[in-house]
Amino acid sequence: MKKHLPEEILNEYLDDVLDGLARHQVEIHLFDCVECRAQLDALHLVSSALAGLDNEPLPHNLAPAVLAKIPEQHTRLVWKLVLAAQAGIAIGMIIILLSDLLVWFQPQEWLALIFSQLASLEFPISYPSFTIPRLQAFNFQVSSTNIIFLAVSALLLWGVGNAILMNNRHEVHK
Amino acid sequence: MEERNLAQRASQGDREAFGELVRLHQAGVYNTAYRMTGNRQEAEDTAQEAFLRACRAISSLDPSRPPGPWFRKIAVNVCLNRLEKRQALPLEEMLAASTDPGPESQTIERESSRQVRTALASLPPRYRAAIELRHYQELSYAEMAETLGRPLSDVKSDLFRARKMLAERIRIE
Ligand SMILES: [Zn+2]
Repeated sequence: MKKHLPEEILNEYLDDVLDGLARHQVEIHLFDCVECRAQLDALHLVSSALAGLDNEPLPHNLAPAVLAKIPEQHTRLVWKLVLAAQAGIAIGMIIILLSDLLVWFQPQEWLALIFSQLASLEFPISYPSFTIPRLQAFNFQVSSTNIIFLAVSALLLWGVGNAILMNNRHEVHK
Repeated sequence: MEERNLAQRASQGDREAFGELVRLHQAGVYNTAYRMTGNRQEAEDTAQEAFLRACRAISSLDPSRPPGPWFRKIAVNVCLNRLEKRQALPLEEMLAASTDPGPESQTIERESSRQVRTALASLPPRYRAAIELRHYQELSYAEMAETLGRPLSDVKSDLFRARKMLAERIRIE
């Protein structure tokens, strides 16, 4: 008994996704098989019936109803401000902490030592002296409270950012 | 205004730009919903829901690509969710909740179009989605699988079975 083309192959032939050889083999079979040709014709009929479907005119403009249901911009804006404030505090803290750390490590002395060593190599360049001013107004100390505060700020930013991203991904992939 | 510019602004949360995109793409989204639900009122509700969902996910809109297909893919998933949710209801509740009397015939529609809509409305929701994505959105098998979040083999099998059902129903009618 003759082996007919599987449904899958007929569909893939219709969708034009078969490679050259497979396509050629299908065409050879179709050439002398009435039954498979009839099946393919039925698929073509479905395709053209679907393609011939009229477009339905829009009953009315949907935009006003959609926009009315979208929460006002300020909700988003408040969130942005909260995030910005949080980021601002975190960045400020990091700057203060760094300035304190610089004083603590006394970089001037390290630099002076390095420069003096370099000078002893008799390079024909002179190095100007400079100081890093400590931020006197903020007497910020490297304490466990500060470190915990910074860690919590960073964690909150990370959490909120990821929650927003995950939420959006979810919406797109249903 | 250029569509890419609108998409860029909308993706940054510009409400007015989003409204303009809705105006530009509402006909396409509404027709997707009408083909899948077979009911005008349902299509309108679903199209609105799809745009709201798109708005919530607007940061994932890629402004360098045309936004039409992105809106219509969301619409297919919204329709599918709605149709499947309704299918999951017990029979009595389903009949009570159903507003879908099949494709409407009050307005004049070509007989051939009415036949196709009736045949489409008789398919299981997943099959309707496969037909919509392949024949109207012209997606590849892989893009269909990605849009529906399902394995490629399942999506192909749905499409082939859907065509077979349509072939039987369109021929009989
Ligand atoms: Zn054959």
